[in-house]
Amino acid sequence: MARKKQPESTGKGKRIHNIRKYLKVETEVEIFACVHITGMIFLYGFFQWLMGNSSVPFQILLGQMALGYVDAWVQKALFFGEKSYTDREYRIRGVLWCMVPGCFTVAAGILGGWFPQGGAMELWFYGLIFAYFTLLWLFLEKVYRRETEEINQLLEQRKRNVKGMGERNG
Amino acid sequence: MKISMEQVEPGKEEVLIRYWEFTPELRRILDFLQKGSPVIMGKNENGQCRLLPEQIYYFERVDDRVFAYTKGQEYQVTLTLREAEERLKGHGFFRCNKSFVVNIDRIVSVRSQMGNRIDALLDNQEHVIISRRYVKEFRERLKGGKERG
Repeated sequence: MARKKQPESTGKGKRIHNIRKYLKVETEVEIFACVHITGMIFLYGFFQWLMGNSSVPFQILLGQMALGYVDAWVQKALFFGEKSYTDREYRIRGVLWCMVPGCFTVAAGILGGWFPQGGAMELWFYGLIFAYFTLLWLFLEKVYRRETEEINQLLEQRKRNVKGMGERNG
Repeated sequence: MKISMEQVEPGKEEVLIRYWEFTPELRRILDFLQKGSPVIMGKNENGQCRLLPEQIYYFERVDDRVFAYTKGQEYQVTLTLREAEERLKGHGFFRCNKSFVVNIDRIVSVRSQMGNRIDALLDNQEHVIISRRYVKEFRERLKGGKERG
C-alpha cells in the first residue's frame, strides 16, 4: 500500500545529513568488524601455534583485517535501510549473513596462501569460521528474541491499560 | 473510574482530574479538553475527507508529500510528519523512522530484527519498521510514562 519513494533531491543540508548517517552506519560496521577481525586473527594464530609456527606474516594479518571489515559491511548491507522483509526473505538474508563471510574467508585464505601446506588444519579453520558466523547469528537472534518478547509484553500491557480505561469510562 | 459532576456559579467552571497514574488514555482526555479532538483533513481522488486519529494507521512522507493511510484508503494531507506527530502525540502516534509516523494502537505485534530495527505488524497486516533510533521512545510510550508534550 505504501508509495514508492522517488529519488531524493540533493543539497548542502542533505549532504550533511547523509554524512552523519554514513558515520553512524560506519561505527556500527566497525564494531562488528573488530569482533570478526579479533576472532579471525585469534583463531588463525592459534592454528599456526598448533602447527608449530610462532609468527604470522604481516600481509596475512592485514588481509584478515581487510576481510573482517568487508565481511561486516556485507552483513550490514544485507539488512540495510528501513525495508520490511517477509519471513522467507529474512531467512534467506540470515543464511547469507552466515555463509557469505565464510565463503569470503575461504577465498581470501586460498588466494592469500594462509595455509600453504593445506591439510586438516586448513579445513578445521574454515569450518570453525563458518561455525563462528553461525553462532554469532544465533546469539544475536536470541538477544533480539528476548527484546521482541519484552516489547510485545509492553504492547500487551498498554492495550490492557487502554481497554481497561475505555471500559471504566464506558 | 468514578465520574462526578457538580453545578457551580458562572465563571467558576473547572475540570479536575484525579489520577493515580498518568496513562496515555488520560493524556488523550487532557488533549481533548484542551484542544478538542483533532481532525486531520485529507484528500484523495474521491475528494476531501475528515480523518479521525483512530482511523489513521500511519503517515508516510514520500518526497515532500505526506500521506495518511486508513483501512484500505490513502489520503494526501497538508501536514508535515513533524506536525502530524505533534498534533497526534496524545493519540498514540509516534515517529518510528525518518519517513513514518505510526499509530501505536494499531500495532498488533513487533519483532526485533538483525540490523538494529524492529518490524511492527499493524492490524491491517502491513509492516512498519521502527528504527533503532526511536526504540527508546517507543518503549517509553508503551510504558505510558512519557507521552511527550
